[in-house]
Parts: sequence; structure tokens; C-alpha cells
Amino acid sequence: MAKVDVAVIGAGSAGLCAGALLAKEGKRVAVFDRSPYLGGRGMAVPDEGFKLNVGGHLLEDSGSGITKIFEYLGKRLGHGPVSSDMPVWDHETNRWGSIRDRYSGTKDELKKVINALLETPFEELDKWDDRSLREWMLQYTSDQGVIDLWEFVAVLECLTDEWYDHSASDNLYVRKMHYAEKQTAGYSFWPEKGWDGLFQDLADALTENGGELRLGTGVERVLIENGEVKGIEVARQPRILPNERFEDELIEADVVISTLPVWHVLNVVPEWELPDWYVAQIRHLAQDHFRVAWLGLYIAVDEPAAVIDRKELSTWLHTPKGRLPGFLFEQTAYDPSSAPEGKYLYVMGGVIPGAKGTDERFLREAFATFEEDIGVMYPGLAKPSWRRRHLVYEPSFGVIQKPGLVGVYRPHWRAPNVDGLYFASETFRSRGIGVDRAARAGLTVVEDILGRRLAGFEETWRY
Amino acid sequence: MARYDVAVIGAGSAGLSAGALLQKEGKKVIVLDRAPYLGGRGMAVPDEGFKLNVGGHLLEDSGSGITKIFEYLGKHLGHGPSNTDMNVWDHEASKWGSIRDRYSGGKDELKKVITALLETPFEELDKWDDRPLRDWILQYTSDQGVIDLFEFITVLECMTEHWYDHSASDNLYVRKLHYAEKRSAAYSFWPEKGWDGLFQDLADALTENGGELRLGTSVERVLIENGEVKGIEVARQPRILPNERFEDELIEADCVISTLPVWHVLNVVPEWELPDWYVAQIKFLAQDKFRIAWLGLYLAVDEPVPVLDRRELSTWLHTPTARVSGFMFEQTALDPSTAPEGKFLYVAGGMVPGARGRDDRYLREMFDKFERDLGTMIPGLAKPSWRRRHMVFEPSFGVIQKPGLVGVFRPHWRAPNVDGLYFASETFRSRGIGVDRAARAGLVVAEDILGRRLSGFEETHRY
Repeated sequence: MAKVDVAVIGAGSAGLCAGALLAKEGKRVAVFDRSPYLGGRGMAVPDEGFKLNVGGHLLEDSGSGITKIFEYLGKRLGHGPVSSDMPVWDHETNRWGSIRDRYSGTKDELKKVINALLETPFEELDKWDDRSLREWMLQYTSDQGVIDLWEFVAVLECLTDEWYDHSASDNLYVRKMHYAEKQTAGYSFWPEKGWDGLFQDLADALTENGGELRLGTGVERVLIENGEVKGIEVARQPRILPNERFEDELIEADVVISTLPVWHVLNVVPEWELPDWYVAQIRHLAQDHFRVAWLGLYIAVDEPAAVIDRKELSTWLHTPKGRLPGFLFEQTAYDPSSAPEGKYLYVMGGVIPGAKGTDERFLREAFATFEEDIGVMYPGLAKPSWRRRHLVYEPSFGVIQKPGLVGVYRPHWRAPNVDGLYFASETFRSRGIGVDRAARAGLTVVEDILGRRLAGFEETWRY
Repeated sequence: MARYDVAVIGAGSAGLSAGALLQKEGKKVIVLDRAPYLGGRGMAVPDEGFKLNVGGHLLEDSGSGITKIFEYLGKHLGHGPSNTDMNVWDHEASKWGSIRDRYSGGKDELKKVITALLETPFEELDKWDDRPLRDWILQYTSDQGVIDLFEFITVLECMTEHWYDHSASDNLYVRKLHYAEKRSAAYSFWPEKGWDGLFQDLADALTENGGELRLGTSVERVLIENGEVKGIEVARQPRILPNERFEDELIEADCVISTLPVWHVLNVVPEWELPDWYVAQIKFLAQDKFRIAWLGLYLAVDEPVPVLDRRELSTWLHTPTARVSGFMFEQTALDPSTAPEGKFLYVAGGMVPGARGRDDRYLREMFDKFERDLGTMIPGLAKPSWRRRHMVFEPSFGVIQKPGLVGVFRPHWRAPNVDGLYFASETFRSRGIGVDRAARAGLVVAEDILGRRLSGFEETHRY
């Protein structure tokens, strides 16, 4: 393979956005992924006629992130149906209600806080990286209804549980964008072409601009010599010998962008090439107990089992028995093509502590209890005709967005001492939520490599 | 899925031997393995026209072990060429010599020690599980040449380095078997039909008697209820969803034999079903520093490069720069079918400390040095026309046979508190070397399950 300007490790949102943008800007780019599918923490996996939406994602971009990157690349990211209401399970009375009747803060108080947020510059929010959301809010209101509303959104988005665990900076960045761009607290949507379509559009933008894509290709090592990136080594395909080592193909590159999360990156970037304090930052975040772990459940039934409306996202803070926060939506209501004719596919999940993500005994019991709970909350789902369970742990939702684990507490996207080495990942320094956050992390790195903002993005916040 | 008397996890030497023996004795048996190949720590892997002998094994059965198991099963394990001499690299003079001129102990002294060993019953040797080999020898001789000879074989067989690390009991068991059955200190041979032929014969013995074999099938869990084995759960094939969990097929069985090594067994046997002290024994042995790790190297050249004779095993205590102990032999001299026409295949290896088995930086450097060293010691191998490197770590050569880590210090083959659960593995209680040791471990478990010795094996030591 010829020498490339930029080799990108990972064909998810961060890697494809960075790769496609750089290809469009004239760089010779190759993007690699060990998996046979496009995507990362968000991914569409075909299984017996279903298209499973790994992680149960919706997109949370109010417009200035991945949506705008699509536009720049000459593509269009259509926003599918958007929630206007949200069923919330009342775990005290064991019945469904709406977020509207549950959070009854006065409108004026809410407006006051929204205005304060809109007037606060993003840079100011950076100072709140190790403070709680509630502390910031108490500056402007003591209305419990308003506080409850924002904290409820934080539980759903960041999967943090206690008030002192909701990060002020990470949550307020997203609230500010959503209020500014869409006049709503939490904006989420289904990508119109599905998750496969979304990643395929990005991959097409890459290859249409002359970039190369290699799936099913594990990168073994970033090659660094004298503080400079030389390229990457990819494993012989397929590996035949058990535990085969170091029989790798060298791909020369001036720049390498790793999109690997903190818990994998040191398998590929030799840690002795990085400063010890930077490695320590990575390892600190990579602790199991800082991962968001999620019991991922897919259930198909022969009749829809809606609570309020088939297109709603329904949520809960505690399931009846397992006491897990989580959410559920009917994927076929957004995208009928994601299930065989006559099947209704529900995707749902429950948050469990990251420290339990490797505890098989706990997980087995937690899955069983969670399924029983789903059957109580949604009697129509008690006897599914099809089911898949997977653990969202690796790929994971990311490092949990608690105070002290966000913003400056995440390692910088540019290696401190290696020319040409960048980290575009939501687990490194970044803001936003999920797949959109990853796309923004890709954009940040692209602009850093180019040494300029991209046209049209001058005003976009992206870190 | 039908119900089985015995489910065996692992289609290596232990699993196939145990499975075939029990099936022949009238049990309904199924053997499962996650790999697509037969074998375990020994395995023939086809790769670009070569048949790679994973781990670089020869067989060390003087007749009463796997060879006899073959006979019992109506098969024949032909012993290929065995060594009459052995090349030894003199790392002080940097040249090749022979084991004969190097160890010049008095013949009478050697005979005295051999006689003492032959007169010592196996049961007596059991008392030496936490003593060094040298302690035992010093009872009968102080001749340094004799001590050196016994200890040199130990380095090659058990890969222990210091005199105080050579186990008395494990080494003397094998010396006694080999002297008694073959009048040789160390008897090793190439299996006449190759490693694929060896495992295929065992698999045929299983299926010809009505047993079932499922390769490429990962066992997820041994199912235990109220202290009794209920069966095993196997993963859905193929797994599609990343990190898919608990969508398993139940195979009912009264008895489960795990052949998993200590470092994997608790992934499959739920540890909370076992007594804590037994789990602690397993975890103690499973420490990385007690693993034997080995730089496995396959080199092919277009001309043979014998040192003395093409069929000899060449050995060394220290390579010139990497300073690793190890051995090499020409596989094509023993079995021409293991390489394409006109290619000569050498299998070589060097021992590295188990604690370094995950240290990629160290391993990469060691592989480079080791390859250069081979080129120094054997100039004809300096420019190979084909190469593969693999790390013998997982699959590994096993738990290192040091005093305190052998014999009674390995967990018993029968679960202390679960009816029907057995462990046939060389990393559990067992004696012997390598693939033969595993076969003997399978025999021990088969006889324990049947509650009797198999006919013809009454006199065979097998633990």
C-alpha cells in the first residue's frame, strides 16, 4: 500500500468524520477498523432479518455537530421523528405518566435559568469541570421543579444517578446548544437512513474524495520513531496461527488519528512513547468503575406495545425490581425496515455500575431481572417472539460524565510529545453526547491538523 | 438436543483421550472446542502450504501413556525418529558441541543414581513435591557431571532455569518412566502421522464409537444446580452482535469434564459454585509469573541447514544476545509433508519469563534478538524465505513445574463439592510432560468416573 498522509484507526463517527473531512481537504487518507461493520459505539448489526441498533442510540445533535459535518461533506443527515413528549414510569405508584406532569417547575423560573445559560459563554462553563450541575443551577433558582427537570435529562443523557455526580460543564454545554439551536432542553432524533445509512454516507464521503477504507483490519501498532509518527502496522489477514505476533504490514503515514477509547488505546500506541503523566491520565479514566455499562436488550413482538405514542421514548429512573434507570423505544416505529414484516422491534437498556461490567454472575441475574421488569412495565413485551441480549461495555457508552472526569480531566487530543499523533475520541477531550460528541471530536482534530477552522464552522463550538 | 452422559470441554489431548475412552466404555459423550482445529497446546495449523506445529512439540511418552491409550482405542501411535544425540550450543566458546562431550560424569555414578531411581516407588517421589531435584540426587551422588546431566534435561523439558527451581517429584517421575520403559534419560519422538494425524486418530476413536465432536463451539458456562452438574451452555453460532450475552444453547449432561487450564477455567465454571480454598488454589497457579512463555518461531529456507544430523534436536542454555534457553529442530526432516516441495521448515523457540508474556515492547525486542541469535548460531537460517512468529502464552506450555507448584499443589481433578464435575488438565493435578501429561490426566479422570482402572492400565502410573 502506498504512503498516506493520514491513517485513521476506527471507522466510527469520529474516524469517518475526521477521515472524510481531511480527504475532502486534499489529504490522502486511509481509515481502518478491526470490525466488519461501520460504526463504533453506534452501529447497525444485521441479525436474522433485524437490524440491531447497538447501544440503543438516538442522535443528540441540535444541528451544529454531525449534521453540519454532513452538509460540509455534501451529504444530508435527515432528522427522523423527534420526541415531543416522554412517558416516564412512576416507580412509586407503578404506572406511566408524562415528563410534563411530573416536573412542574414554574415556567418563569425555568426561563430565568435558560436565559442565564444562554448568556453564559461556553468558555465560562469550562470552569465547572469539577462541579455539579445543581451547584451551577442554584446560582439562578431554587425551584425544585426546574432542578428536577434538568437533572432528569442528565440521568437519561449521561446515565449518572446522584445529584452530585451530574457534571455541570458537560451537561450545560449540551443544554446550551439544544436551547440555542432548537429551543428545547433535550433534542434527540433517529437518523433518517438508519445507523447503517448514517455511517455509509460518511464512508461514501471518504471514498468519493479518494480516501480508502479497510474494514476487518486490526491495527496492531502505531509506529513512532524519534518522537515522530512513521505509520501504522496492520495484522496479517486473516490471522491463522493462535496468538500470532508481529507479522504485520507497515502502512506509512505522516499523521495517525486514533479513535480508540482510553481503555484500548495503549494496546496500539506504545505507552513508552508517551509522557508518564499523560499515560497516567489515560489509565485513570480507563478504570472499569468509570465506564458506563448498560444491559442492552432487543425484544420483538407481533403487536406494537406503545405507552403513549409509538414514536415516543419512554424512560424510568427505577425499574420495579432491578431498580435500574434506563429507556426504551420502538425502533420499527422510526424505521420499519429494521425488522422483518409483521415484527415490532423494541430496543431498551438499563444502567448498571461499570465496576460490575465484568461480573458474569451479577450480569446474568441483572439481565433476568431486567427482562421481568420490562414485562411488568410493558405487559405487551412480557412474551417476546425474538430476543437478543448484549452488554454495552466494550464497545461502551464511554467514560461516565461525572465531575472531575470531563473537560480538562480528559487527556488532550494531541499527543504532547509525538509529532503527528492525534486522539479523536469522546473518551479524550471532547464535549457533547454520544455519536455526535465523537463526530465533534473528529472535527476538532481535523481543524488542528489543518491549522485552521473549516469554512462555515468558524462559529461552531467544538472544544 | 439429546442428553449426554459426559460433556467434555476441549478437544486437545486430555479431552479427546477422556472422551474417546469413556465413549468406548459405553458412555454417551460429546466433546466441544472453541477452536476450528483439533488439539490444544499441541496443534497442527495449516498456513500457506506449511503445517505449523504450534508450540514446537515432540512427544515425550516412553510408552505407558498416550501410546497405550491409542492401543486401547484400537489405534496406533507410531513413534517417528527419536534422538540418539543432541546438539548443544556452547555459549562460552560460541560453537556447537554434543551433549555427550559436555556432560562427562562417571558412568558408574550415573548408573548408581538410575538404579536408586528405579528402586524408588512413584509414591515415594510424591513426598518431594516441594523440594528441588538436586536435593534428591545428592542423596546418591555428588558427581557434578551426573547432576548437570539431569539438570540439563530439566531445563529442556520443564524450562526451569535455576537448580532450586527444578522440581524433584515432577522431573523424577518422568526420568523414572523413561529409564524403566526405554532405558534412556529422555525419550522424545515425532508422532508418525504428524500432529494433525495424532489428534484426528483420537477424534476418530471418539466418533467411531458413537461419540460426538463439535469444533468451533465455545462453551459459555457449566450449569450447576444444588451441587450437581446439569450440563453446559454453548454460545449461539456464529455470534453476531458485539458483546452478545447469555443467548446460549443448553446441552444436558450428568458429567462435565473441563480440560481448560487454570487461567481460563473460572470463565466457564462459576467460581461461586466451588469452595473458596479450591478457587484460591486455581488462582494461585494462574498467576502470569507461573506461566511458561515462549517465543515461537517458524523459519523456512530453501536448503537444509543441519548442525550434526537433520533429525537431531539442537538446544542451548543461552543464545548469544537474547540469552534465552530453547531448542530447535527441522520439522521437515521428521515429516516432509509439513512444508511445500523444496522448503525446509525449522521450528524454534526461546523461553521468556511468564511475567513478561503481556509486555509487547519486551516481546518485540526479544523476537528480533532471538531471530538474529538464530542466524548467528545457524548461519543458514539468517535469511529465511518464510517466517511466522507466535507467542506461546495462551495457549501456553502450562504452569511452570517448579517445587511447590506441582503434585499436590495443583488442584485435584475432581471438584470437591460438585457431583459430576472433573478437571482433566496438565495444569490441574497430573504428572508427565506436555501432550502426554494431558492424555494421562484424561485417563485419570476417565478411570475416576468409571470407578475402576481400565483393563491393561492396572500397572500404569497415571497419578
